[in-house]
Amino acid sequence: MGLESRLSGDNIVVSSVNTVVNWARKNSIWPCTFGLACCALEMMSTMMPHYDMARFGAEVFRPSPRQSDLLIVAGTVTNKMAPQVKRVYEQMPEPKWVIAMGACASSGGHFLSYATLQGVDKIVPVDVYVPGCPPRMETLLASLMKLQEKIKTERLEMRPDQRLDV
Amino acid sequence: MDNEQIAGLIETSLPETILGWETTHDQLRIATDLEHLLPLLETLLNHPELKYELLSDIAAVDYVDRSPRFDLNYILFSLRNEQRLIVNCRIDDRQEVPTATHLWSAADWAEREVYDLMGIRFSGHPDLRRILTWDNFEGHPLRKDFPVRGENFFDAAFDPDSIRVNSAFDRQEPAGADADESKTLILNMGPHHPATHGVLRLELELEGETIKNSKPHVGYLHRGIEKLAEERNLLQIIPLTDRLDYAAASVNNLGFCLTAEKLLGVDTPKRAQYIRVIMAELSRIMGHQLWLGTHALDIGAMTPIFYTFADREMAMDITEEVSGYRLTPSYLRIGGVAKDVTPTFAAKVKNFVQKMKTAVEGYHTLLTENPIWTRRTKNVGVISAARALNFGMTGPSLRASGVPYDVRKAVPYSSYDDFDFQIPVGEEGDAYDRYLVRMEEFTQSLKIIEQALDNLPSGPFKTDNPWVAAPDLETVRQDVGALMHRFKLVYPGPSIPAGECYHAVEGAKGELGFYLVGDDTSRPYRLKMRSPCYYLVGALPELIQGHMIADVITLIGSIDIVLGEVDR
Repeated sequence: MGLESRLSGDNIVVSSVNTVVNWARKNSIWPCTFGLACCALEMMSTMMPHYDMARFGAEVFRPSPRQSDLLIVAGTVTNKMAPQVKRVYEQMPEPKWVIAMGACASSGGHFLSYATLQGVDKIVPVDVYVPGCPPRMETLLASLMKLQEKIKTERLEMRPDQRLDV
Repeated sequence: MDNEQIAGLIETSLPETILGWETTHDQLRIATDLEHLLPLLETLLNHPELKYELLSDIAAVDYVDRSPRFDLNYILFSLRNEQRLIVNCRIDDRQEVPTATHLWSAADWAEREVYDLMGIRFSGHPDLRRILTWDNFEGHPLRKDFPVRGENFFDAAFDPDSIRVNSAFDRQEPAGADADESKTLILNMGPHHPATHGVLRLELELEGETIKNSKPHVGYLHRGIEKLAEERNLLQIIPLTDRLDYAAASVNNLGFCLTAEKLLGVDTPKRAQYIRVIMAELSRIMGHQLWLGTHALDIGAMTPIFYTFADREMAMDITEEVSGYRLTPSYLRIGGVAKDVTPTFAAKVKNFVQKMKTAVEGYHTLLTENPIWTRRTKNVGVISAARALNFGMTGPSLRASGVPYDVRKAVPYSSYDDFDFQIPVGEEGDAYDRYLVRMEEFTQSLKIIEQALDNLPSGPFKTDNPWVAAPDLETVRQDVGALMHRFKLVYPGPSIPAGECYHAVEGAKGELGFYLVGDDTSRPYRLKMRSPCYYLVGALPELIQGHMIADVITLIGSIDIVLGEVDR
């Protein structure tokens, strides 16, 4: 099956803490259930049987930001919604990542108007931008893998986590 | 009764209140002045031979250089006569309009929207607050002197904390000894909540776990589509309409294209009409599948969503095949469709219809007699026919209360009168009936698709009217005149004649209407969208009053709202 089947017997694995932690983190990204607009439907389709995001360890959508690692900003962020998006992000514990899904979340998209925030990166830091209006499920899955690659390169001290300082 | 008889009847029963009437684009428009507006509306609602019980919308238009400045158009529908009427009233910048909330509850939200976006004040309105924009928003965005991007749009800094949305409840701590008895709790739900189907926010006033009162807050997805439409040509607006009710996008395209065609006087060939019907019904099925899956998931049934989404993919594939895109196809064009259907289209749709027939039976097996499901939905959120109409509820949510109002039958469009289908109606008007009505609509939609497919006429898929139809690319390469013609239609866009008209279609959620005003340029002067979901959310407080918190989830699901359409 996985790694363990090749390690039968009294073997030991030597690795760096960074590698092990990143490996664990990248394969269990829990996204927050946070749909804003049209993209949310494609995000749901990605979870559903045809595309099955569970294959990449990211199927556990948590309704509470306090239990999630990944904020997929799926849809248009309006000025009225912006404080709530920021708040959801701030409620998430470290380590946390953000995917700006779709043209609206990346740059405002179609909606160059008085009511729309021109890209969610004005209020929260974004790791991966996904093009499309809305992006296809394959695109979202590709962005998830891109994020996993990014997580692999992280170092623990890059994250200002209180518990590490103790 | 035809339009002239009705105009005559109004003239005789209320002499001197109307300034004039005309029939434009098959629609009766009555002009009145501010002084006589309310008596006229009252008569229209209560007259036994008129009975305009449904206030579809209030469309305000800003003629900035004219005095009086604003046009208010009350769009009314009489179920008795199956006839639509527009009451037009001109008002000045500083004038206050008497509220119509005591006649139609729907006027509550309609007037709040007009106040918010146009800055027209309504005297006597119980709760005149901003609704789509936030509370410290400056200006009224749909006025012509308001820039599309607002002030200081390109400033890099944006401070989310500067946005204020105040509580709808005016909380003052009760004083005195009996303070404990009247204590209620305000619970905030949303806008980030997994069961509100988007970014709806509700403020619930609770007494124990029972809901005493509630105030919905909408506008968290207000993207300014109506304002954006004013700087785009007709072709560019079609993608905007996709993003209204994104669960059933083709119906929105249909509504907009039909409105534009009505104003431009363009006919569509029969083949295009049938293809449009197939696409509209497919999207209705997709919308209902999404509703069923999420509604059941909210109540605790996990299984249906996997089935509905798997079946939905089939319809998505068909949409993608003809249009090139899954969720937001933008397949329809003014005067037809973008291109002809693919050769495999018919076979795929047939296959889909066959599979869906079995699938719908499967949905019934999962839920219809499921004891948990029936206990969660039966006798929950009962609304009478009269109240539902008064709130401006349309679509399946209204039909569940026993009113057989369906725009496809009442005012047929796009050859819907060629097809044989029934309008399912409920009896009780509870959440279970709303569920049953939508389940039956699956079957009826499949029936329409089958008939349209079997009788799909051959011929052109797009009109040859030179006002909207560009010459094909092959001709453009040979002929410089055709090149210019195509350029004129694609770059500035077709010219919209001066005039205004309203057209409604039966969207997946109810009466989806567009009020289009043209001024001989290629951009609309005003495009007002009558969103069915907006009025469904307006009726939500009535539905959830007296129920428990858990029933709120059921009821939000049972009226099937899409926030993109609510907020526009």
